[in-house]
Amino acid sequence: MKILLYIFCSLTLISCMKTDFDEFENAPGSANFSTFISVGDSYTQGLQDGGLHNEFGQQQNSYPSIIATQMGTNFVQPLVSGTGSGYMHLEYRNGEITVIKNYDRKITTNDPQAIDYDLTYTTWADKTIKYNNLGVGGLNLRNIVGMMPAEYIYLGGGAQGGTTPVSSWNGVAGEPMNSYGRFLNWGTMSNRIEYIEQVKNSNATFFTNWLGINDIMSWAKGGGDEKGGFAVLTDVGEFREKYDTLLDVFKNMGAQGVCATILDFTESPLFTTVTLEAVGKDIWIKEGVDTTIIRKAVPEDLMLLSASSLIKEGTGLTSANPLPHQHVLDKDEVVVAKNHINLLNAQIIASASAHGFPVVNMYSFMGELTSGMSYDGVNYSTKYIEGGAYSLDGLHPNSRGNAIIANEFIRVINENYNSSLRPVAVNNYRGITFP
Amino acid sequence: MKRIIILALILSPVFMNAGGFQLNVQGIKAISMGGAFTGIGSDASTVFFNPGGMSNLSGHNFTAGFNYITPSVSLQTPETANINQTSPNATPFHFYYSGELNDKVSIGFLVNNQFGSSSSFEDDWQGRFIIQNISLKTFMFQPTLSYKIHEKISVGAGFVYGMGTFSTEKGVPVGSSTTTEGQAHLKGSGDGVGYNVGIFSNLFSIKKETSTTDFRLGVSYRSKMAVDLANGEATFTDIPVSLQDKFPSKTTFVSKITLPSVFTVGFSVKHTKENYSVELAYDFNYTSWSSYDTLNFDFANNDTPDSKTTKDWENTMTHRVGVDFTYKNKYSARVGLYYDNTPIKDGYLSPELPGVTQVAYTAGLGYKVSEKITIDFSYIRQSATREASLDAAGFSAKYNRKVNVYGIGVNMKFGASKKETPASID
Repeated sequence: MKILLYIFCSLTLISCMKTDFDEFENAPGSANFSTFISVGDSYTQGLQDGGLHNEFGQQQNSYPSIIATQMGTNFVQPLVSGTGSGYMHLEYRNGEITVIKNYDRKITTNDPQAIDYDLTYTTWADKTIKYNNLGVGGLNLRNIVGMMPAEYIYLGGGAQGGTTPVSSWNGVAGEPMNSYGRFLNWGTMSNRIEYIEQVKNSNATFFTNWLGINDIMSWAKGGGDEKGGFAVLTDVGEFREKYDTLLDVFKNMGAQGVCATILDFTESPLFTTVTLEAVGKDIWIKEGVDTTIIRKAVPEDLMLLSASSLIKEGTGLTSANPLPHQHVLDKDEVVVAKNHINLLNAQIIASASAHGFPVVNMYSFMGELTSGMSYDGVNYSTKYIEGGAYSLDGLHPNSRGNAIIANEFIRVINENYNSSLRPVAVNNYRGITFP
Repeated sequence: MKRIIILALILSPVFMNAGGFQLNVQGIKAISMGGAFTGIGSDASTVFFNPGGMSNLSGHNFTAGFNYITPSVSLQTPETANINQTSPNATPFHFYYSGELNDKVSIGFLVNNQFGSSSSFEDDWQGRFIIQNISLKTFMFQPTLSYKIHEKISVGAGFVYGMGTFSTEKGVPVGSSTTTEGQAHLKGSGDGVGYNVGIFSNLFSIKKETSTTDFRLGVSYRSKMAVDLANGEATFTDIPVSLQDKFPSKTTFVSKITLPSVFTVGFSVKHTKENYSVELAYDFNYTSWSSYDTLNFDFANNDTPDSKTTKDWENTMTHRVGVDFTYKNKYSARVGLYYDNTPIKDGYLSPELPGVTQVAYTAGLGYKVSEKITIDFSYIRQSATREASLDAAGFSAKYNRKVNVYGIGVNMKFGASKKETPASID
């Protein structure tokens, strides 16, 4: 009887105890991921904590890079080394978690622990390499083709920085003012290579396109108001025309891909952290550049993260010393920003649809983050620092936020191209680095 | 015997089983017959299954057994193709005594592991912020008395004292430049009291020239038991300096786990001929798992966020059927099955305890060595799959779960008087 039992046991142990699941099949479906490129701005480039940095794989884990890994395709990014462009970080001082801003060479009052750019950053990336991640911090639709001369110095061909002081890496000879674009060859002032040419030369078989954010955000994150310069709201007609031009390029090269809508960045921690409730006092604000209206802030006014330290120093507490307009997106400006996001998103959806490209609705997806999301036992929200998905600048996602975004792109790609790319485990990426 | 018990006490880790974290392995003959025993009561395990059945046993009866549980559980999440639980095998044991004081009164005692759960994962697995490992062990002690009201009806009641120990570990999602993430370790122990009552009836017998057919009925109720973990100890490790007020290296916590009540109605028919007997049994359990609505840990340190998990389990019904075939009152073969409903709803399925509604199959053998000693073997086979989520945590997975349970037990009987085993009551 015992022998029988032994036989029974060993049989069942070996043959009947296997519970393992089979490995995933990673099929491309109808898509061709062999040359994948991403087009976008700082969100796409992998910027976080107010800079490009990579000591814990921050830039490495940009959302397009995560998507490429899941595609199993080669994806070259212009990675910074060392402290990169400099960035914000946290210190623990007097029992409080304190945000330390990037080192700023234009001021003399930097925090002793502020992180400066790395010397390698002035000659940051090899321009002869073909990069797959074409995200450039600050890029908007206006600047991808037919750039206005006033914006040359910002992204165009290598002026010495025009009237801006040449005291820092901002004025490296032959380089665009915006250091985030220096991995690309922009030509010279008289013989410019436009961004759209970089896209044309990419030979992409598949793309993601998340441009459009800066067509509104550059204006809003400076408190709105500005009527000129490179921080204007992009005209809806011009936006559509250039968006169509970009998608024509992809269509003509036979690429497949997805376009993403503009997120409602006014729900990001940059705009939602310094509230009247959090401050607990009346705050006086100046409404705009051209106005003399000074009034008490109402809950609908969005004070920016930058107002936090000013308020601590006493600014905004009296009508004589109001918060400067660039630290507040006042209630009317909030309406303007939100409306413009909707207007441009309607154009993105219409243009993508006309070109036959599916849309990743980042507007509604990132809206869900406002009410909270959970992944594998960790809750995420738009709360500054605690929320876990945004980096310290309060605008750009951290690596976990990038993973969350990558998963949404992957979901839409799978849905439209019958591919079976796997989402990633969000918590395996880096969250906030606490002191 | 004593040595076996002591050994079992030392070795007894605990494990998971379907139907919440109740361990339905409390008697080897019962296990073999799908767990139906409340209307049988033929050995001392009736102290557990139905104290009223003790009055049917003559002399001094000892039953001891233990089980070897080998679970194999794999998960597949949308992100990870295969994750294996690394849960240890488990060896719950049971010991029962039932002795006849006089014609009317019997006394009994039990020690067993009625509830338990243990599962673990690799520390760095995808769901580490939900659970890395968990272990719940309980020991129950039950002095019992039964009284024969009538030739056909007896009642029994036991006072239950339970002890439980609990420990769990999970990740804390905070990192610094030198640590990737923190870890929480919680452990505690506590005790509680309850009761176990039952009625047993030898309903009637049909006697023919060459055969007897006995009909029996049992009803039992084991109360719920609140186990207070009043002295829990929590430690947090690898926490960034700036968050150590929130997650201190050491603090205490209180918690409470309420073990459910179980109401059972059981019925058996035994047909005995000269050379053999056939016995059919059916049990119906109603288990009040809704007692497990939340699992809270309240930390003494004010800055530490209290942990509240909504379990929202449901009461469950289980059907158990089994058949015993005994030849020459010496060799027994048994088979059975049970239909087990999981108390865990979709949306609440946590990876450490992937309960599944399923049919499980059982089998066993018995061998009567002598009038005094019987040895039993049992086997349970569970194999089931489920796909469900834990909504509050944003976790979903497919589960593949297979469990083999091997049991062995011994029955001893001394000083049997005029009465024989229930097999030949007349």
